Amino acid sequence: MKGKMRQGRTSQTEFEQEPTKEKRNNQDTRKHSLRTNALLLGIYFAMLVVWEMANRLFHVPAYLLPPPSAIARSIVENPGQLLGNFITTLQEVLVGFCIGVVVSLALGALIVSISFFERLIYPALVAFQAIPKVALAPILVVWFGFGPTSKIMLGFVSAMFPIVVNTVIGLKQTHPEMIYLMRSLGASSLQIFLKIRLLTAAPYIFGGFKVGITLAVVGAVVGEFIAANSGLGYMLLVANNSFKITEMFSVVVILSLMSIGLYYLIELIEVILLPKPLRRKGNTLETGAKT
Amino acid sequence: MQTQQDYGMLAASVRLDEVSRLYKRGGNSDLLAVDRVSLEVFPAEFCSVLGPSGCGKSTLLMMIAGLYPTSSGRVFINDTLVNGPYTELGIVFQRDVLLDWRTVLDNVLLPIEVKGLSKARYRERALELLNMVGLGEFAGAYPEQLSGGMRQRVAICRALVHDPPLLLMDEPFGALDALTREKLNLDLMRLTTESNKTMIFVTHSIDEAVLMSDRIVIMSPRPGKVTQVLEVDLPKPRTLETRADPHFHALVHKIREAFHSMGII
Repeated sequence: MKGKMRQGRTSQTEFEQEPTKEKRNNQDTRKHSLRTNALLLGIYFAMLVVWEMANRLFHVPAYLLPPPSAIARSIVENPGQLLGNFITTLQEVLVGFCIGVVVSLALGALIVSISFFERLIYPALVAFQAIPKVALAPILVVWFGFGPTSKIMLGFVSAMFPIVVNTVIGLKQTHPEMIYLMRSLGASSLQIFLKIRLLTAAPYIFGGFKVGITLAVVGAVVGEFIAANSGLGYMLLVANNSFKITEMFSVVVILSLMSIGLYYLIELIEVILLPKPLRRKGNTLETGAKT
Repeated sequence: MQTQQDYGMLAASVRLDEVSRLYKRGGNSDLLAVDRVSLEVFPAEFCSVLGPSGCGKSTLLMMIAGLYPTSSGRVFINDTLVNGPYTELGIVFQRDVLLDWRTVLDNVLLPIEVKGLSKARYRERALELLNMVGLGEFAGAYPEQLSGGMRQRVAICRALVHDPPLLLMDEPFGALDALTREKLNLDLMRLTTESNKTMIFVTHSIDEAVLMSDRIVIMSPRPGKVTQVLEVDLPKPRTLETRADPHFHALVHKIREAFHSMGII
């Protein structure tokens, strides 16, 4: 699909042939990816079956490793409680992440525009990132209380580092020649930022979002471990204390699904927002230190 | 000799007055890139700046454009002092900085957008330019679908779309293979003979300079000084046949000897 168009004496007919060739390729790749997806789903399903079978065959006790069927049953039997806690945690994650996005983008833009600010802020950011979120959580609870605010704050600080780093890297990707070209056209700094730098940085920024949102989930859950009376982290803790191992697993499954869903939500937003060639550029992910 | 009166206000004149560029690094490690260059470029002239790597020719071009400040000396375009980016020019760099998320046509129209002019009005002109370089069919394509030579041609169209009186080019064909380079030489000459623009063309290819220029400014290795200004009195329009002209070879050889005596070759 990406093949180079032939330069030189391209006759009209040669060019007309290219689009139909591309159309056929599109259909082939779609069928191919459908087949691959089916295969992947098949493999995952097979792994679940193997897990189930192994449990039954070797009589693995439920308190060690419950079978998928038991986990599924646990999810289905108590939807209300799971849903309520799911929504609580989801709200904390989303609010925390959104705050993180606004603050991080602003920080990133500042770092790139003022080099003094960069030298001032970057070491502080890295040092802050090095603090394990488990250690930070009790302090945030003391500051922001027992309620959702402390979890939102944790989600926010967890998401911050990857977004800032990726924003800075992305904004620095613009070729200096492009900046010179814009200046020679009389472009204002704002024009240069909006028309050139931001879009050049977009794939990297979205990469930062993807890492950031998964870390925000971790942050919120850690907050719920420390001090909460609702949310999936709280539910996990309670289940742990009551030795309800199967319930613990079901919470983990739901948490994972939340993370996956949020990750692909970011991808969806990226697909909607960015023009096609930019998306194909691929992302370099900068992973923040996990708790 | 072409003068301002012959071409009206269409093509720009450029004058450099003892222009230098010094990179201060403290103590003895100050770097003098360009050393008191004085130069005049006449309207609608194709002037090449020819010299070895590191001789400061790119720096010189950037100072003409007003993108680098001069450490001393002054640059005049149309007798106006340049002290900031001069905004009525077209510029092409060695790297074809096209925007990957825009089509070829939208890339060519970038100067129009930035200057707030009517895209609808200039669309015709953009397509015309693309046709002149053989890329008319690719107006809707994206840069990643194009080869290096094609992308550079788009960059040249972009530099011409807003009809600037002055065109600056910094080794635009340096990153391309020799055959593409020869083709683009011819394309560029065709584009420029059909318009009244002043061209300042930085290169380190003697052939290229002699083929395309009216005058060649030869620069010494760093610190860059003008050692010679050569008049190229080959007949115009220049074509493939020009390369077979014995006078072409004589000029090329003359320049080669000059570089040899400078220790460059």
